[in-house]
Amino acid sequence: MGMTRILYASDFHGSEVAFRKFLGAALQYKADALVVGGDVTGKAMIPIKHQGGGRYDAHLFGRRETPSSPEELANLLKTISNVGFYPILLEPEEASELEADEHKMGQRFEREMIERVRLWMTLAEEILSPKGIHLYFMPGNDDLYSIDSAIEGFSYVHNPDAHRFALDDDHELVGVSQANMTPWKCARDTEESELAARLDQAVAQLQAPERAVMVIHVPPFDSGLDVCPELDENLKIVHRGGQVLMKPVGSPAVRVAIEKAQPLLTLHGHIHESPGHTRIGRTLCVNAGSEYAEGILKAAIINLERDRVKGHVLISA
Amino acid sequence: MTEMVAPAESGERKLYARKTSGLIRTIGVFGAMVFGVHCISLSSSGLIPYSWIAGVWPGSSIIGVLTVAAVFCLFHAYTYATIGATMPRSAADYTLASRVLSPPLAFAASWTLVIFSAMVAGSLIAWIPLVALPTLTRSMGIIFSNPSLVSFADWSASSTGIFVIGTICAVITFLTMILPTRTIVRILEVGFFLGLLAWVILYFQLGTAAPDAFPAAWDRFMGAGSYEGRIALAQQNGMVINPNVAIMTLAGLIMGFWVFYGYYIPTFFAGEVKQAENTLLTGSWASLIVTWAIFVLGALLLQRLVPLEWIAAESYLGQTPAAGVTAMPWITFYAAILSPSFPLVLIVAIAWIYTLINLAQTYFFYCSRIIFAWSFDRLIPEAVCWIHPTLRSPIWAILIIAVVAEVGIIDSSGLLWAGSVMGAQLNFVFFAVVTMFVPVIAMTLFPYLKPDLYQNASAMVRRKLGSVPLITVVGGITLTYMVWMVIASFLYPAVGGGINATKLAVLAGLVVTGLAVFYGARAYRLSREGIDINWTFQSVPPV
Repeated sequence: MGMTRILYASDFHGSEVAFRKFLGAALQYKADALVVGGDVTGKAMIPIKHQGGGRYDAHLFGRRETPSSPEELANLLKTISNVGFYPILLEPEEASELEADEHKMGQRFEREMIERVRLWMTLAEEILSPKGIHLYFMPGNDDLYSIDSAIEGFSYVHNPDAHRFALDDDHELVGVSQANMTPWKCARDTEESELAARLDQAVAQLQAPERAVMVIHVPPFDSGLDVCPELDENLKIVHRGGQVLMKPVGSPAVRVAIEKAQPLLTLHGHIHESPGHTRIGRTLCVNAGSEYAEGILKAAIINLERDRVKGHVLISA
Repeated sequence: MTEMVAPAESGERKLYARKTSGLIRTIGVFGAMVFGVHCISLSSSGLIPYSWIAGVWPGSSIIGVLTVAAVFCLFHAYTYATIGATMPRSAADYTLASRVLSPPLAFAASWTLVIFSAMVAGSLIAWIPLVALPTLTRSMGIIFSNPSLVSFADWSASSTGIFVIGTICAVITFLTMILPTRTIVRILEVGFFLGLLAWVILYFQLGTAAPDAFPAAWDRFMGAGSYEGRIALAQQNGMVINPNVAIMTLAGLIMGFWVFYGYYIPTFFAGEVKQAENTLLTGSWASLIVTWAIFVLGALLLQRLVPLEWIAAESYLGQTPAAGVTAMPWITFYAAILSPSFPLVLIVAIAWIYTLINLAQTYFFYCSRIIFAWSFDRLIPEAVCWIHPTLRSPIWAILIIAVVAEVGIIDSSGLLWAGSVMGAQLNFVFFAVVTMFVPVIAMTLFPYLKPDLYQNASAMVRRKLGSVPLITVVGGITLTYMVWMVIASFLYPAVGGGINATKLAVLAGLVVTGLAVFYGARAYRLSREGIDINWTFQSVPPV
């Protein structure tokens, strides 16, 4: 066969514009397959409180927003969605009720996340199916397990977490959404031993690992794709002499799995500030990075030939 | 995963944040300020106001010149902070210009900046044996009656001395830059406080002396009657005192980059700065204001002891070899003769040399970051950015910068060829400004050329003055200032060092080789990998 072009990105964290650019990039760069490497849901809801008379009040990035017309409100909703947050319109009493009940707050959050993922998947199916392009959309450690259901039931959208798919006649794809433990103890954080077991299970599904693509949310330890600021005990960044002190925080289990299985290509996310590529043995490892909050799509275009990665480039759009 | 939002506030809750995410990543304003101060340099720039400005514009207020210079640099700093806030990643200037204006032009400008900066790093290193070391050793030799130190000062400033000592310093800079980042930042941190300590010592020496102590102290070390005859001698050699405010303003407009260049450097590693819109601007302005305050306080204390005209005369004589006198227009010398304590003079000397090495390190540092950005865009071979597994540093990238810096040292020494082909030190304002045009034009026009990105940019980038984007206004002022700097480079040798056909050819050669590298890399990737490098610079509209 000829060449297969993969478009890869991760860590949208709910950013509407980043995901829509990702779909746009698929068409612009004539991708054959799309892969998303996890952390797709947002981190916060922004309450937009109704003040009566069609006037609203909200705060975004420390700035007070007071939309007073349907157009201004629509713009605010769009801006909030584009930076990855979930805007929720509330009457003052609803807001008080939500703030007083942590359980209700959690439920509302979960509902917002699932709803946005479902909308994205529906949009992707609509855009990609006429072109015959498949989207492999995997959650990451920051995503609740409950969003998996929102990725089901589509013809051109698949969740590769712990499932093998054929990318084309020569290449197969399998994913692992979990990550090693983080200071925040996210939904899919797990111990290294558990992660190693999941990686083994993923590799066991592969029929030809040497031509396989593995999408593993967390990058391999000490690979240059896993460098982020060092934190002190209060989760504050340590910096000296004008420099943030950086340290590798990837997974040793992922590194061992790559060294053993030596797939053709591994795709990672998780550490936004560490985009790049490296090689572990014959395996090309890529972290596309993320700047979702700035509305910037960071992605990788990768050309695959049967037995090799022909070429790749990181883009930011 | 490590991104986060402000925590939910109690009482009036402005956002409902998830518990799993709780970190706000920030590089402190202090950190950015430290880096800026190092790149401005408490040592090399610390000498310029008294030894250079005073003599080039005799009679102009040193404080006035510094103030005018700093004010215009504030606009330039704002523009570069906005560039970093718009594209918060390594080589933000190149990244922005390549996405907004033109990839080949942006790369050519960035390429020129890196090679030129490495050359400047070399010329700054050469400045150690050419000026800094002789100044300090000559001062010590005179003050402590040690002829060997004076002889060493003469040798140090010779072509051989510049080459030998400069090469040793370049090797030291290279070896320190390949160390783990933790070690490098500690070296910089120590340098910052050492530099401050040196200035505290200078303030102590100048501030504790009796108001009438200077003439006697000067005559004691420079010969009886020497102080009294200095102004007349300078006037005999052509110095004209002109305390004209217009001249002072002109001098300030010319000397801005000479004195304060470096405050905007954190923009080159904006990718390591979170909340870049606040940190870059505050950090660069803080470094400007801090160094301005340090130098102004030095001027105030010095002028308490000696009139401005005398400082101008000594500076003028230092720039006029034909006068045939040993001029010592250095604030370190002025302070040392007032309080000739060997430990204090030694500490200042060590701090001066140490921070000069720090200055070269900052150039090495930002050049390596820019090279990384090129590698990211696949414009240069991956091997260039290979990270040493133990040291965790890009040894080859730093070695390349060191080799180019060595060329800068040789160029400055005049050892292998007469004069200075590039004149990196004297012409650095001209070269630096020329390389800045592409990113500054990109930033100024950004709201109009990329309205979609502009609308999504941070609030700082989107500020408006009436209906006009503030960055377009400030960028326009910055561009005007830069155009003036180019014109001034031709009109005033004090800033341009004499731009001639050779130097312009060097500049053109750098730009052309940058373009050749871009198009060569693009052709290679396209044919071998099926990847068009231009993809990385294109906008992608959302569906």
